[in-house]
Amino acid sequence: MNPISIKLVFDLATDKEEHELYELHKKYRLTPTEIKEAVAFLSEQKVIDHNGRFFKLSKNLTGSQLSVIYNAIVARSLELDKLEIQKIIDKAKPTTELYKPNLEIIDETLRLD
Amino acid sequence: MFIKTEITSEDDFYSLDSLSKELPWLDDREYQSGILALWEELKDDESKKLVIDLLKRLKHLNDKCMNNNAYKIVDKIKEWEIKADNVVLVATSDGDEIDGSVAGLQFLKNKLATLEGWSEKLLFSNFEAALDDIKRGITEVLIFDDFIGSGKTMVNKLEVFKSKLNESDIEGVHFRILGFAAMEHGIQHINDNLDLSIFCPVTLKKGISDYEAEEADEYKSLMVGLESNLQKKYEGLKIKDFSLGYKESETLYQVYGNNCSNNVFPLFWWPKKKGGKPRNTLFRRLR
Repeated sequence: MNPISIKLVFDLATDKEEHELYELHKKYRLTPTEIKEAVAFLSEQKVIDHNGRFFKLSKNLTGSQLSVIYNAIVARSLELDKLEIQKIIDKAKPTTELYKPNLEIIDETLRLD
Repeated sequence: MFIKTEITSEDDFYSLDSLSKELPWLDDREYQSGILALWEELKDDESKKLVIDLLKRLKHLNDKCMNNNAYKIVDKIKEWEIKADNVVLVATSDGDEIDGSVAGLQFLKNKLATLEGWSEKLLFSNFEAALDDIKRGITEVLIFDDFIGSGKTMVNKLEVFKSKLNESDIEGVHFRILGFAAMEHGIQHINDNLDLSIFCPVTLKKGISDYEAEEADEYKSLMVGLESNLQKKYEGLKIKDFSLGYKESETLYQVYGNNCSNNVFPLFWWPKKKGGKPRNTLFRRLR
């Protein structure tokens, strides 16, 4: 089971609208087999309601269902994102370089003055 | 290299999904990206129908099928009542080449262990390597090839080897041929030219000629038309030598995860498009 396929099916379903299997192919270039495997898995976990060519997010997902989804997608390979990730790494400052902290992102309750 | 999956139309997407239900072997990561790419190349319904017909005729073997076939070969050796102290099993590779016959022999080893007295010392990768044992008086020679296409290579190699034995004044050697699969016309060619027994658990008809009566020529022309969209030359090979499969074998056979035979229609494995762009092929063949 490919974690990326599961994530993409889940991502598409999060708008709570009904979607067609073909959308996953057209949008993400998943193959019919990849789509069927991911949809079958999420349907089995009752995360999505699957009916023929269509699927949508189930109502009222429980904490344990979210846990199943998290565990299914957390270890995904980032092969396809590798180039984008490398661009971010390249832009990053060296760990030894001095910089001015952005205090705006610190919660107000933690500030002393 | 990462080869992207082609986007196909909605109709083709669902018809390929239906085809995968009919042909479960196709419903696999190994083939899904390749079949979508192939569909992208097929521009009309006629071509798609031809390819669907061919895929339905294709014999696809997985590991379990291959294992069963290996047992059938061992059963045949038992049936022939060949004694371990008077036999060599020889693959048909050229010299030190690693090819399908050697890989097939390696696969057979595990099953040969069920035969009394057999050891790996009875197995050879080519005729030359087995020559010394034959000179020492072995009279039963089992020749093994994983796939027999036109049968011409087998006949040529065996005739050359027989003449070598004659040069060394070796007589009374009895040859038999074993293989995992063979084309029916290849077996016929061997039977027409050599007087020996052959056993292959899988035998195959020509993918178009042996299935179609009146429309065979039309379908072959259609396939040749599809081949014209492939690069004419690839690493010293000419597509015209592989038109409809090597020696026009029209083979429809694939072992899961294995190198595709050059007897298979090149539409399924030829790696470049006309103009030199790489193809994401259904089957792969390392030359």
